[in-house]
Amino acid sequence: MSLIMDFLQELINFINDMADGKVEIEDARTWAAALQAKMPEQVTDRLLAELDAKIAALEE
Amino acid sequence: MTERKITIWTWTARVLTLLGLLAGVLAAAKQLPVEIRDYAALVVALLGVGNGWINGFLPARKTRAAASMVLLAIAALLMLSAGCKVPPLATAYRSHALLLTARDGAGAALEKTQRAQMIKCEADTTAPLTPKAKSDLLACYRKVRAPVSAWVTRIKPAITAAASALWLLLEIAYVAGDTALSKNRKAASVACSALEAAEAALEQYADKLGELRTVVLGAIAGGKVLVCH
Repeated sequence: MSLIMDFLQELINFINDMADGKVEIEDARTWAAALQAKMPEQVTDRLLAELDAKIAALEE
Repeated sequence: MTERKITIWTWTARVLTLLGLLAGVLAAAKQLPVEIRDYAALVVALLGVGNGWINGFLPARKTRAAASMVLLAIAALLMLSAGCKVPPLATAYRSHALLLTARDGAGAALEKTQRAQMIKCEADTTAPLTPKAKSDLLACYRKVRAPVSAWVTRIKPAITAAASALWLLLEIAYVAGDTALSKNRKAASVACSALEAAEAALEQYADKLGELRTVVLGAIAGGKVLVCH
């Protein structure tokens, strides 16, 4: 009986969260937070450094 | 269809009816927003009537099973469309994520293109370099370097700053429970200005980036729709 009550409580919580849009917000926030915490791509910085080194070597 | 499958589909329809009834009771009791309440009521009515029809009036068991499947599909579509009532804050978080994804994707694509050009510059030369070959190689490298430099020194920082301003706005709204993004106009204004600056940087170097800029411009436009009023 308590398992059924637990299930019903979880279902009620989920329906309430769906109505408030909380489920959607949390998912979206989690994805955005992961990307915000990541460093921007560095491959272009490395390529720029390589080109600068090659140009400097030719200008010597 | 086997007897077992028919039984499964019929019972699934009945269970869904009960869940729909529960949603309907909750909708009435909890004073949910109108759209959700309407959807819950619609699902309850559909499943209630449909289930009664399936079990009471359809003679053949196979027809009942087929009707149950159709009902399930319609109910799933209704609940999905109810779920599509996405709060602006959720859309804004996704928009922010798309902006960062577009930034890094465009950067990676630019690197790949320009690196290929750099290799092509070198492939056209043979050691030892004559003065003319040296001069041509230098010119070739500088041509390859121009868009990369614009991206690294101007465009990427502008997009990163816009994404950070947008993130600040969203986190302020999240903490304040402002799911409609309607309250903090000052933070929205800062985010809007930062997005416009990123857009201007992209436009300024449009000739150097080609089609890559349209990807990022689209992501910036998505953010602007939400925060610039």
